[in-house]
Amino acid sequence: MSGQHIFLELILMPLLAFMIGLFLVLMMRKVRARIERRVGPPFLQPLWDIIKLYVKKMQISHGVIHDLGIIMLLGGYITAEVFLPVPGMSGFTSQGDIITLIYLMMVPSLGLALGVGQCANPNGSIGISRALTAMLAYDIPFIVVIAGACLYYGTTDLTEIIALQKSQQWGLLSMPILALAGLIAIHAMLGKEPFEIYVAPAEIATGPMVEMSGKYLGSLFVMQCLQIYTITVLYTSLFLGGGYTWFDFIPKLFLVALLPVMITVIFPRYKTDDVLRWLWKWPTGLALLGLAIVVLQG
Amino acid sequence: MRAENYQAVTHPESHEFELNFGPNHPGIEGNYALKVRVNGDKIVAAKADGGYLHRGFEKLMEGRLWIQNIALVPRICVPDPVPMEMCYALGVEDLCQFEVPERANWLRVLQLELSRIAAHLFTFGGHAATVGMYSNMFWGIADRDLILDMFEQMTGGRVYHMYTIPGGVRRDVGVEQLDKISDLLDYLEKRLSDYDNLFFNNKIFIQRARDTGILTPKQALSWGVTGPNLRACGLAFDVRRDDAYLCYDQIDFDIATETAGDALARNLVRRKELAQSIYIVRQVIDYLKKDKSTHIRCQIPNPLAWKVPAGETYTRVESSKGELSFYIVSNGGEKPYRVHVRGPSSMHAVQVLEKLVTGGRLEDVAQIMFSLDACPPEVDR
Repeated sequence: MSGQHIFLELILMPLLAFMIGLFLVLMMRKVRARIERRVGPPFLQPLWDIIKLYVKKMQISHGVIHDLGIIMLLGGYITAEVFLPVPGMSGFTSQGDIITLIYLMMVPSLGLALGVGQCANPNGSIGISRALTAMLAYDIPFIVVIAGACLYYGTTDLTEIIALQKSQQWGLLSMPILALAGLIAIHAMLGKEPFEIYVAPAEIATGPMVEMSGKYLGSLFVMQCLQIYTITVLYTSLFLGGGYTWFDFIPKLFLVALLPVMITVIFPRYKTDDVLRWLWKWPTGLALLGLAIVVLQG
Repeated sequence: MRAENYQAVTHPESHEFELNFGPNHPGIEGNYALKVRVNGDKIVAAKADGGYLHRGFEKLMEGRLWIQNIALVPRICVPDPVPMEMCYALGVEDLCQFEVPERANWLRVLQLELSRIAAHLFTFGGHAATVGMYSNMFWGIADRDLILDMFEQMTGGRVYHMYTIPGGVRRDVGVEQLDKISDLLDYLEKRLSDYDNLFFNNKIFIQRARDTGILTPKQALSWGVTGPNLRACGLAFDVRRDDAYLCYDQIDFDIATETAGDALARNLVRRKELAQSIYIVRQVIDYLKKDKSTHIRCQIPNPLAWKVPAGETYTRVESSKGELSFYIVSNGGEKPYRVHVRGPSSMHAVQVLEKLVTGGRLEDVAQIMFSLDACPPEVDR
């Protein structure tokens, strides 16, 4: 692959991720609105929201660390996108495996913690403390799921994992318990109810977002698009056979994003310690069971 | 990004810090605030901080004609304005010794109970939102809007109706309108099971609301708690039955009670009251359809030169939030000499709220406030 081709992919992959992420956000907001008996936002609303926030003039900054935190959280996801294979583009997938990807997916949370910590707003600090607690809660089942899947496929290379599913069967069918545990873990990663502890508007006034406005809030919106895209692509690649063409790939992403939003509207929010307890009990238990089955199968 | 903002932040040495919970906070009801002292997320002290909605209703009433105050009083409680009109009208009628026609009393009960249903839908929708269940909030508000449609058709006003006046009511309600209300009640009854499935029987909600903000019967009595909050402690006191006004003594209904005294019990009482109010409205509709009278108010003096006989009176009604009372003094003039409003929230949102949140956790503050159904304008009146 020529250097020019790779350069093109490095530009295109995050851009595509952002655009698909925007539609995923739109779909989630629309579905949620319909269940809540509302009309929901117009087609381009997620994009207008971001443009509006980015054109706002910044009056306040909370310091260099705060700015760096925002760069970290965006940078983490933008970098992660080039390690996620999509139809027609593989980016740096061959240079970095799924372990690299998991590391990169943790960077945004740490960036957010640094940035919000600098604000010295108690609501933001409590929010970040909750976000890191939640990360600790969902990362354990998530990592066990990844480990189980990698053991089953015998590789940590996502391109190979997708190719194996093409020749055999989807991970969802061969590892249903791990797939279920993974689905619960990604629901928690998206921060949807009942795991929405670190935004919790009525409790901590939107937590990490409380001191964010203008371009900073716009960056969080962009991060949300990239986060949803990253998580759905990763799940699709591990359990739904990835994508051979964009026509079969995009519906899978929408399906994976649709499930959490269908569940989230019927649940209130857990308390922080209940999130930890529940995620360490059920999805972790399921993930360990799935892992044991994979190990015993040899 | 200005240079002066790039400075090190000095943090207090103590592990405790003061957090302004409101007046601009998604978890606060209305324009109200709590100054909470927090250690981690445990609340070690709380101080209610009202006054953001103070418009001086009581003082304003002294400067207006008796009839003009009808437009002022509903504004004291936005979600449940009808009891305000009602209580004021009862007070003026008592001073003037008016004989209110029977049909007007039934029409008033119709308004009061529809307002109670609307207020309860609003309250448990709000409570659901405090624990992150927004579907219930939007459903509650959408269903409340259907009741506001009925109010608009009956009175011309969606939120503030100014329908009840001293001496009776402004308009009659026709059979066609009563049929519409009856259809709405059918719809709301069907919706109750949806609310049960989504919210009241939701395991996570029950887990969060149970044992949160517990109020004992003794505390409730000594702190002046009334309404659903009192009945959630097992004390079946309701002004509609214990000091019956209008035609409530002719209507069959149960007093909804629970015994736990926590946030869950307070919500369950409201849920039961919703069903009871629907039952009451059905009885009222039956009566109004059978009643052929068209007499809806007694003869009242020229409103612009209306002098109310000197005297004082204390009237009370059961609003959706608790016992609402008006103490009215007249010196025989065209305007009240003094009006004092005893809104139930003036107890619930100050001394009760402060005590219930202290010792609890930050995540329960909003839930406790909404479970008490505190209405800040009643505090600030």
